[in-house]
Amino acid sequence: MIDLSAVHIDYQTVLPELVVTGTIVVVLLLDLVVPPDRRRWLAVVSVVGLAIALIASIPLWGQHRSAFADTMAGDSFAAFFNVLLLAVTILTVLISPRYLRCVHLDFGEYYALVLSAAAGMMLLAAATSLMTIFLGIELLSLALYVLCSFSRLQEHSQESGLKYLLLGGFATGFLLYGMALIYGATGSTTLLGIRAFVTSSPGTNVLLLLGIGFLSVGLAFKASAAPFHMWTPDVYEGAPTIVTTFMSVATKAAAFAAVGRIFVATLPSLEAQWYVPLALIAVLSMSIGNVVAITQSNLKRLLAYSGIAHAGFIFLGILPGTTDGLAASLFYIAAYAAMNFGAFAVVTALDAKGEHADELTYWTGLFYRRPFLATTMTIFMLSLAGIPPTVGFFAKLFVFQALVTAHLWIPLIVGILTTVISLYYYLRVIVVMVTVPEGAPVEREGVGLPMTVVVGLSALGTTVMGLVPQVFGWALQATRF
Amino acid sequence: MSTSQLALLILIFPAAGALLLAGRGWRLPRIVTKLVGPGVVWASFVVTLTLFFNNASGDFTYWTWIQSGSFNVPFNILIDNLSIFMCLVITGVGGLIVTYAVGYMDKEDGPSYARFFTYMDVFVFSMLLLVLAGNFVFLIVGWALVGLSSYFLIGFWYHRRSAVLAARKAFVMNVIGDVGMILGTFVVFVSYHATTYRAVFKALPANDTSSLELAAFLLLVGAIAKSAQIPLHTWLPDAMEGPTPVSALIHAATMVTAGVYLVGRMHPIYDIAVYAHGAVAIVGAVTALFAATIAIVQTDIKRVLAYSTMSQIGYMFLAVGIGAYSAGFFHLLSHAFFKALLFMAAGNVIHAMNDEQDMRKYGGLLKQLPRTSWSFLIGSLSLVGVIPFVGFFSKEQILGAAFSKPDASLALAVWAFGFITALVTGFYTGRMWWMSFAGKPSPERPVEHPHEAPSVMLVPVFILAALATIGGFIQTRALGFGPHMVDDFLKSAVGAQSWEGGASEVIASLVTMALAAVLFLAAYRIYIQHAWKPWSAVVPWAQRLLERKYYFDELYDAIIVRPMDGLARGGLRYVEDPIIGGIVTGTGDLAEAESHNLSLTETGYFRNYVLVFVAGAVVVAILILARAGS
Repeated sequence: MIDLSAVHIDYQTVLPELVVTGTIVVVLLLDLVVPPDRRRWLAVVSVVGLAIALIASIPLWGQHRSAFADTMAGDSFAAFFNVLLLAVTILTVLISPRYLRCVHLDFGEYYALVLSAAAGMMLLAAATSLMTIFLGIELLSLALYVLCSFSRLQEHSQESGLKYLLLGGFATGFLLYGMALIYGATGSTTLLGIRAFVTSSPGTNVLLLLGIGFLSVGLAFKASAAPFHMWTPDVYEGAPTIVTTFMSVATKAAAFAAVGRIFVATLPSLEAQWYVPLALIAVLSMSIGNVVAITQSNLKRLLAYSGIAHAGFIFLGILPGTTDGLAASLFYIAAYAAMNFGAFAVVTALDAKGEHADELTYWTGLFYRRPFLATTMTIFMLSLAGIPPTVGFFAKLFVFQALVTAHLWIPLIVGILTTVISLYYYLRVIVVMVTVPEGAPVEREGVGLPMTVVVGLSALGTTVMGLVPQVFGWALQATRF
Repeated sequence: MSTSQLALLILIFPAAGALLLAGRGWRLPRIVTKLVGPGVVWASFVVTLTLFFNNASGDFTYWTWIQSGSFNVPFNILIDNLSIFMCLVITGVGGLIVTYAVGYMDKEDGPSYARFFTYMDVFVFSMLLLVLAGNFVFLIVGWALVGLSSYFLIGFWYHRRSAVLAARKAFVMNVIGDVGMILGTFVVFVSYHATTYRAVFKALPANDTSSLELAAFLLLVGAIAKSAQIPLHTWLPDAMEGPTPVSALIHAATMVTAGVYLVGRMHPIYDIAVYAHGAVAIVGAVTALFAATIAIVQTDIKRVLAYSTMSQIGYMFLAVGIGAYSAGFFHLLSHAFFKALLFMAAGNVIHAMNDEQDMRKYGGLLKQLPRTSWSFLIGSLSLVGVIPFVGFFSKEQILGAAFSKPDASLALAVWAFGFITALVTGFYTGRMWWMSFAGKPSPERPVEHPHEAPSVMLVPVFILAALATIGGFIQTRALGFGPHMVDDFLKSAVGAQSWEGGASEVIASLVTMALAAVLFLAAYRIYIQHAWKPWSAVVPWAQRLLERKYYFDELYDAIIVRPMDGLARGGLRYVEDPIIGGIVTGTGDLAEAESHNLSLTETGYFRNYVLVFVAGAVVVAILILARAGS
């Protein structure tokens, strides 16, 4: 028998994760008894569970708890990400039932898988040990592999899932190898222990550095940053749109939570060592993402490249290695969540209608057919491009400001130049939408109340988040480890 | 409700009305637009009346708008007797005009109808914000919004090229003024480190300084542009392209008087900055005479009224420029009555004449449109300044104040301008009324048997006619005795006039009135009876000069528009296309080509992806080790 009394179990720290995990079980069991035409009740149960978890996350704000022998933290940082991730998950579940029915994928497992991914992401955000980080990444990844190939009869979806699985496995290999090297160098798996080791022995440790390098490779893969981004367009395009919507936002946020905890909270003293590879990742992501997006004719691929570019922008805030810079990244993640989720939600809304809604040609004259969706999409595009007064502008402003403060000019210049390039393709989407179509059919049917509310909320968040100064204040407070 | 909530309510009503009409107006039944459009203005009027009867006053700060270092902009509303006075004019006269528009715009289709009242409500909101603002920043916001809504309304018939051009002209002229205003505000902020009126006025120096003069002159630029005074006046006559209710509301009763309000509101500044203050009076006096002379030769009935408006606002500038603030505001009130009356009565005529605006094609309407004709006559006599109409009392109070101001040669000089203007006004007003309503119908008249307007258009006209008739008795100071309610009311906000007139002033007033009335009648002899040789036959060059409006448009065209056009064309040909365009499209082409090349790496083959992945990992490892080694 293992003596558990020595391990202090802090239930409050893991309460949000516990609630979500419990909801998974409930949903799985309910799925057995709920008749197929009543599956929307699974969504309702999921939303209730997620909402409870969200409420349970709020007390963590401002605390400095750690649980399970320093492997998990209950602090503002975790609370910030919990709220963000749970909000995104709730919004996803809200618009799921209608979409799933439209594409004939209305199965109960879907909700259990989404909840599992969410639980993994939350775990990752709270993880303060290499073991829990790995656990979180695997939990979210396994769920997402299945979700990507959820459309069993579509070859595209199968290809998407398989590619993600194979490359993901490859990345996990690097990640694990990096972790092993770090453990070998420092003798500790907890971030606290690693930090103590790094500060006490300042000399160059090749094993440790190599481990950090491979760890960043694995995390950059999850964040879909270049040059580990190759899977992104294929997977985003092939996966069911609702899954793309969810993973494009939530996975990136969770991956950056881990990046923040490792690089800024644990290894700021090694900034000189990890700066160059991370800066390279950021610069490559911004360049490749923004440039390649120009020629995309498929909106999901376009948004995939846009996501790669935004991963680069989020990395910019990490580069100075300061908590203020990390706060800028956190704000960027929140901003990105609102605007990118909104953009993909609009694609989802149109995708539910029929074939090829993700091809840009389908969007010609959308303003005349779907004024609400087109207007909100315009807001999202402007925000992604960084036009004031949308939140995208302020997000870019804060990360650029962090770079200016730290005198990191090269990433800053690349960031500004690629922002200019990005205008080209974001505005093109708007141009396509306002182009007068030839004899377009007038669509009068709605997209359903949940979709209207979710898209409207995203648009509202995209518009006001930058104007309310408190949000950045929260990001600042969340990074006070 | 507390005063601060009521003050906010004044703004909320028109804003809510505009939002409702903009969002749903064209889908809802027309009756909703008919009720909401004027209804919200009347609601604001009722609220303003409540404040008026409660003697409300105060400076209410609702929240901090911008806080950045020492730069602090609160959202505050200043309620004092001046802002209540302005709100009463805006919502009271404005309510009548918007109600009138319900009938006038009835020919428009559903969406346009709702659009019109949306714009009207936006305008009323902007104007109210302008006069209620308690700091310079919101003054500018209101100021610019007023210009914007004026642009919308002048260009309301956007399918007419002339309307679009007129709207653009008005907008450009107004923006020149806005820039002046904004620069003036900058100077004020830099000098006194405050944006609220209260703080700025408290920080003013006791003696004149150059920065204060600069601020006062820059603010005057804004006032001149908005009030269509020389030399930024050319937009107002063209603005008559807008629907007639717009002309009545914006280009007679409210917006164009904003300049007068500004000088009145800023009177602590102008009282110290004596040179800028003198400039106000000079600009007003010159514009008054200048515009009145042009009005003599205009043939479009609305353009006569437009030039007359410029001229009358010149009087108001003259008044506030010599320090007779309450006299200026009394004229503002009386002008709102009689000029709105004239515009709406003219609107009735235009309505009856199938949109014909040329007075030469009217004639003999007195018998066919008696109610409109008599109302128009009341407005005309008020404009000329005949006892007992309101225009007499307000205009003669200004002239009397200028005449009697002690030890001021400037005041006497502007009085001379005002005196001559009054005579010219008598003549052109007479010409307008006789040509339109007296005599025989013109052979070119488009409608043989015109119909009187519907009652929704007549009742507001009658109400204003009544106000123009009896309104003068609230202040009969021009006669040297009787009540002076406007002066008393505004005393707390703009101060009392520092000097008193005497008997000579009253005599001068009566002489002015008599001469103006004689000229009003002389117009009958010339244009209807053709008994006397028209003056234009005697001095044909003067006729040409006036018809060309002193060549202002040509002058601006030659020295500003054409050189700018040339510069722009040259810039387009030699800089924009080859250099900037080349760089931009070159970069775009490069990016697009690169994009294409890079996207070829996205082969879809798993093995290629892994290859890139491994290469990336190797590069990361090398970089990190190279760093460690160095």
